[in-house]
Amino acid sequence: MRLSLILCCYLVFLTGCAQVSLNNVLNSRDQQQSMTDSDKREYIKALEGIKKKRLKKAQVILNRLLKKYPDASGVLANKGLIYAKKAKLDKAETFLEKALQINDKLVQARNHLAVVYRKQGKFSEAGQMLQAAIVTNPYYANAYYNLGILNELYLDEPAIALENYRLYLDLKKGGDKRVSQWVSLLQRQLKSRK
Amino acid sequence: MRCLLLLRCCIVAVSLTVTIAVADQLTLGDIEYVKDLSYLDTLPERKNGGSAIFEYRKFLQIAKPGSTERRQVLVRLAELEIELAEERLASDDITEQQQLVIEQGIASAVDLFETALREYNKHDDNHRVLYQLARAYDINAQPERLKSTLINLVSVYPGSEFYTQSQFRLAEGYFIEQKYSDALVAYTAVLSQDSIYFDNALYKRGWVYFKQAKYKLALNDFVAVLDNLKFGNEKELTRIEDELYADSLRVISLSFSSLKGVKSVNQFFAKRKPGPYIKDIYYSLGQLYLQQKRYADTADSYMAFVNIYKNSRHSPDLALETIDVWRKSKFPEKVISARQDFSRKFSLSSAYWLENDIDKFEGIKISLKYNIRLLAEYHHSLGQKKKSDSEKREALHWYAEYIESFPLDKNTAHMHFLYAELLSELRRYAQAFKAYEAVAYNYDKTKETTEAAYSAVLVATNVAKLAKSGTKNKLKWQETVVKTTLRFAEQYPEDKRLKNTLLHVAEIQYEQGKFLDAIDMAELVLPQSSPEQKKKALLILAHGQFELKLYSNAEKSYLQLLKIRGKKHKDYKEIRKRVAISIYKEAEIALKAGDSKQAIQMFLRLKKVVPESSIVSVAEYDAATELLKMKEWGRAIKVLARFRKSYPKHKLQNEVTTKLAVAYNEKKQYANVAAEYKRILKFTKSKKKRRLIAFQIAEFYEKAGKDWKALEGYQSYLSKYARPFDIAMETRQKIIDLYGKLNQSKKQRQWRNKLIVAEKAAGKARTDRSRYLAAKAALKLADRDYLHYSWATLKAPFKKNLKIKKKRMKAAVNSFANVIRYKVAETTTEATYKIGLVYNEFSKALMKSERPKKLSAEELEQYDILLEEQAFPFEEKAIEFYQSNLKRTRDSIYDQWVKKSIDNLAKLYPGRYLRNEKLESVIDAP
Repeated sequence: MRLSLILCCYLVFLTGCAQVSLNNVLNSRDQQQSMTDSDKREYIKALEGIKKKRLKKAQVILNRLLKKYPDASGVLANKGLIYAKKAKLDKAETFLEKALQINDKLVQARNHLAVVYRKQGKFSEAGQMLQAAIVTNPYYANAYYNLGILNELYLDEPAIALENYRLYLDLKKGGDKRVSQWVSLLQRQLKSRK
Repeated sequence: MRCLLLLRCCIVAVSLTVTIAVADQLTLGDIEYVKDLSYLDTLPERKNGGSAIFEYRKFLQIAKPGSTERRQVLVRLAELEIELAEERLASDDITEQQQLVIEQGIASAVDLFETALREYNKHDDNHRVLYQLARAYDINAQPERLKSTLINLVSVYPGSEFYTQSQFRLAEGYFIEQKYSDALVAYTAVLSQDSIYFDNALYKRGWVYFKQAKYKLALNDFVAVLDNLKFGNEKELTRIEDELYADSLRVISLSFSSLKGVKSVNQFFAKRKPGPYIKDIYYSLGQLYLQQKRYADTADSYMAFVNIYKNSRHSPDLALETIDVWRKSKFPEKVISARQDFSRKFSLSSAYWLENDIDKFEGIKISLKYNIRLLAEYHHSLGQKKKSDSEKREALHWYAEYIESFPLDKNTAHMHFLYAELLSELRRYAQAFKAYEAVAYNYDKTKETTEAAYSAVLVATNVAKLAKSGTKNKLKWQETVVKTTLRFAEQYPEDKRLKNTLLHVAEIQYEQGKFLDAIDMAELVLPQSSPEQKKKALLILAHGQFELKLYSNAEKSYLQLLKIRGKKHKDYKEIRKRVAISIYKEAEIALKAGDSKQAIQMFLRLKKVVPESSIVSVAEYDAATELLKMKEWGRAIKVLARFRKSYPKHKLQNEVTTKLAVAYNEKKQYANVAAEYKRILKFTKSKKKRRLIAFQIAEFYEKAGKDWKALEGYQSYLSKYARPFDIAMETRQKIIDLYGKLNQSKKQRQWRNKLIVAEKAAGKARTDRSRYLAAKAALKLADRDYLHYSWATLKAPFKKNLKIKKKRMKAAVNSFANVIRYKVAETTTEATYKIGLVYNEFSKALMKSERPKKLSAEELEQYDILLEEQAFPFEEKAIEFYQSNLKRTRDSIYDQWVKKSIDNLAKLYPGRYLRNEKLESVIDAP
């Protein structure tokens, strides 16, 4: 009950902040072609490769698929992800943004893009991206988590970070001890500031 | 005796011819008694009178004295005797016997007449008998009796029908006897009546007056005789009249001659209207003088007529006669004068021909032509001989007269030509030109017309040459030369001189700036021309092409010309210059057309074709310029280098140096660029430019990898140019970098310190950049302090080493703190981080420091606690500096030093700063 209430309030707040992004989400159309089964298998293989840090091999597959399915948002997003892993932040940014232009509902892509932005020192853009992810999917916990770090560490906004962490904890059914400690720390910090 | 008789008969016949004829008629027609005795005259022997006389004599013997019949027979018989005598006298070869018979017959007749007069002295018809008696006396050569008989007749019978005749016969007698007074009276008596003797009497009275030296009176009569002849012209006169006319003229002439000559003639006829004979009067007088060899008087006589009777049809003749007189008299000057007079008075344009029809004077026309021609040639010749312009002008007049008067004459072309030649001699070139052209193109072609055509060209050419440059007159004559030459070419295409004239036209056209025409003309001349002509034509052609900017053609033409002329020609060098300019201009045109390749080829070709030309250098330079524009750096360098070597003192050397610098730069031959810049520096005067160049020299050495030279350059720059401050700062930075590159750390430090000092000293001139450079320098110096600090280890002797390390820590921290004071973001984060690092490491170093030996476990624990207490504040300090960097993220400062600071914070204070984002290993999306 508490979570739902908080989320609703937070969403109302975010809706106002991200009106444009929401419109983009509403207006966007999924232009992806449906993949053949064998390509789907290939794609899965590539994702496996990424997980196993066989990034080069995964990239080859993704490139091949992109030639056939240039508008495949998942393929584009994962290619961006590989670049991000390789610390090629500009390319990562390009592919992730392209994926989101095609499919703005890819919250994971938004999360990755936010971290890319943060690494580039684009803290404001990172925050907006995470907020957009939350608007797309208010139950996407990682966005709250990462938003908390961004506000706490980089934007020096401990109060907002505190709230981010709390929402994260609300979504995290099993709880998160470490984050709970951060919450305590922040609460003390805020108290001492007062 | 017989001869005497014959002579007398002849005289009577001459003087009384008319009288006798008339008497015969009267005798046969009017005598009444003949009717009564007419049968006697019809006798067969009547013819010789013999039978009739015999019968009349027989009748006389029986005739009654005093009767009418006796008188009739007496008279008739006497008449028959006379007739018979006359018949006998008329026959030839009269013998003495016959002569005697004749004389007896006449004596018989005289007796018979005298008898009749004596017996019938009161008869009314005695005047006739007297007349017949006089006749008989006359035949019988009895002049005194004749005279007295006639005197008797005219005295007694003034109303007689024989009165006039008798007076005339008396006058004639007196005249013969030279009794002029008596004759004058008698003739005057004849003239008092109208008769057939009137004219003769008039004529004879004239003579009488003449004999009496009464010339004026004589003239009156003689002129009256002429007037009475009433002829239209001489041809209508009978032979006798003609003789009378001629004789009268002769006496008239003599009379006038005796007076005051031609003056008298003039005076005489001033008061009297002259008849058609008037010309003859003057002429006769002239003739008279001529016989007397009085040539001037002759001429005066003739010319008096000519002058007075200007429009007379005879005037030309007399004028011609005048010429003839002088000619025969061998007065050449007078001949000329007369010819002039004639020719002027009767020129075809004279007023004379308004009154007279020239077509009826064919002879005059011929004479006129002849004389005008003679006059023209005479004055022309004299003019040349005496070198007299006035004579020449006179000749001109006559030539012109001839040409105008006889345009269709076969000699006119020649005369016209001479006229033109003379005009030319007199330097009346405009007229001469016209005349030559007229001869050349208005007459049938001859050798002379060809000459005239050519002369027209020459005259026009001369005038054009003499005319003052730039005047309208000059232009006009040059145009004329062109036109007349073209006419010459058209009309006389085969003339050998044509090509030269065409060449001259081409020259004029060129001079007038009509280059296209000049070219056409020169090209017209070129085929089959002589070497000299070819040279001239080529020169004009080439110059024309040059002026028209047909440089390619001009070049070819010039080269061709040079080939023909050879090297020894005085203009050889000049033409070579032209070739060079042509090539250069070709290049320029190609450039304008945007064909740089062609232009370059031309510029470079210039040196090959005309290596000695002064513009080769410019062409080479221009070629290089174009090569540079086309980015053909290598070729440009070659050409420019060649230029430098070939023309070491050329004024474009500086430009060449500049261009070489550009080319070397493009070819990335920076050392060469720097070398060129050194040259540039030598001739650059502007201080500002010199400073920039000095800097660039170092820069290019640096680019070329010639670091030591670059250092030398930068230091040299700084030694001269401490300002502007910013450049000086950059220069110091470059020196610092270069020493770094050359591992000259000591030097590098020195210059960093210099940079910092300079920056600090700049005061208000300091800039962000200067601060940045100083901060960077300070950072590097601080790094060295940091390094010194790092090298110091906390080992035994601990106290001493701790002191050293602390000291170095302070030095390093101060150094980094100095960097932070510059407030340059980039160096500040690094310096901040490094201060944190210094403190962090000091903390760690304390903890890791060598423990004193021989400590018990407890002592060691105490020692460790003590160390930890000592180390902790440094760790706190480190965290403080790292946090300071972390806070910079709010200002979007997020460089490696911030990141490192965060990383170190995460290590030092993980609960607070160890934060890793949550990311999916893959993005789960199709």
